Amino acid sequence: MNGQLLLHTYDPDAREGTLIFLDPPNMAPAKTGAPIKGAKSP
Amino acid sequence: MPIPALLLRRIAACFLLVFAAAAPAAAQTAAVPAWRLAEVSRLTYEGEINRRAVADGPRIYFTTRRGWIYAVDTKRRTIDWRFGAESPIFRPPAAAGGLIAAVDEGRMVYCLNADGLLNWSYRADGPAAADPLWLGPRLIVALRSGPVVALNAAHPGEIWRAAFEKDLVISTAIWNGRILCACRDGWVRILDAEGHPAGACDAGGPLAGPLTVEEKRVYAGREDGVLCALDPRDGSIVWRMRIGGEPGAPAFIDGRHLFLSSGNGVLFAMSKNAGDILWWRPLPSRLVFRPLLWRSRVVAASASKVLSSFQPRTGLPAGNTRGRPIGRPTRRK
Repeated sequence: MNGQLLLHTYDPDAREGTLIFLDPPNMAPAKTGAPIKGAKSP
Repeated sequence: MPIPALLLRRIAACFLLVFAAAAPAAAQTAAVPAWRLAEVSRLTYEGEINRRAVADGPRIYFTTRRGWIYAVDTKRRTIDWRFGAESPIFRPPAAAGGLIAAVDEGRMVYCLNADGLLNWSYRADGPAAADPLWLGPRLIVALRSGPVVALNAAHPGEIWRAAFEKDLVISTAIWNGRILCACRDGWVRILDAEGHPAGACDAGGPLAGPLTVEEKRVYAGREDGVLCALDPRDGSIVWRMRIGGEPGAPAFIDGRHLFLSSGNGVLFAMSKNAGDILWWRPLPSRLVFRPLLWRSRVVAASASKVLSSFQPRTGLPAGNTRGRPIGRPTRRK
């Protein structure tokens, strides 16, 4: 699942929400690590 | 006045206890890598989003508790329009094929077109018991007064209504052109597209939380903290697993794995076939939202300032973001 991540926040004082468009340009792929016993890869 | 020696010893003991409790937590925090996320842009809107946004084409639609329905173009990152309801809205909208529907707390059901213009509105018997859903040209709404009704997309009015006891249905979902109704008495009742009974599954205990649906399986949580995998084709229970809390949001399914955040603030990775818990991790808040798999990480949002991510196969921390309030992730389609 790639693409952009959208987050939203809420400021209860202002009664206003914010939709945040995020992108992780510096993020390396996560290491999958050793499989656990009994687990099967998706 | 001198402080008694016994009291001094108690204060010292308290400091030692706090230090001893804080030291492992600090070490654990240091081990979690920082997750650098660059903000591309942001939009502001009035009110707080009701749990999730719904994607339809290049847009997402969401409702806010102040009674607004918003349409956002995710490519241009602009608010295309908003529509004000008569009363607050506490449920996310339904959107499909250019039709957007929402139900407010004043019992009004709204059907809008893709331009944000009102096609029709309809006053229901009572407030909604579950999120509205589109099933082809029918808008399915379960009401707290009991019935599940199907409204016509083309004009206001009911196509059919299926009778249920008051407050029996707690959530609904669409499965293979049918409607699943999770009920407080422990049954998932199935209706066909015309509102006729088409089967049922007995989960063995009162149900709670949303349903998660896939082609041959439905996952339903019980009030006693047991997650059940049901086969709606024959009504059988495939497996049961105690997770200690009801689902806080629908699960995310990826291949043979199921990722679920429970209402007691724990993220579970489970084997879809047998229900085995592969790993679990506590989340920073009990108010949880649907996890998702994003760029090889399981991203788990909760009502916390920390957005956690984990490696999907091991559950090891894959990075946290800090420093800003974090809401609920919504995957752009």
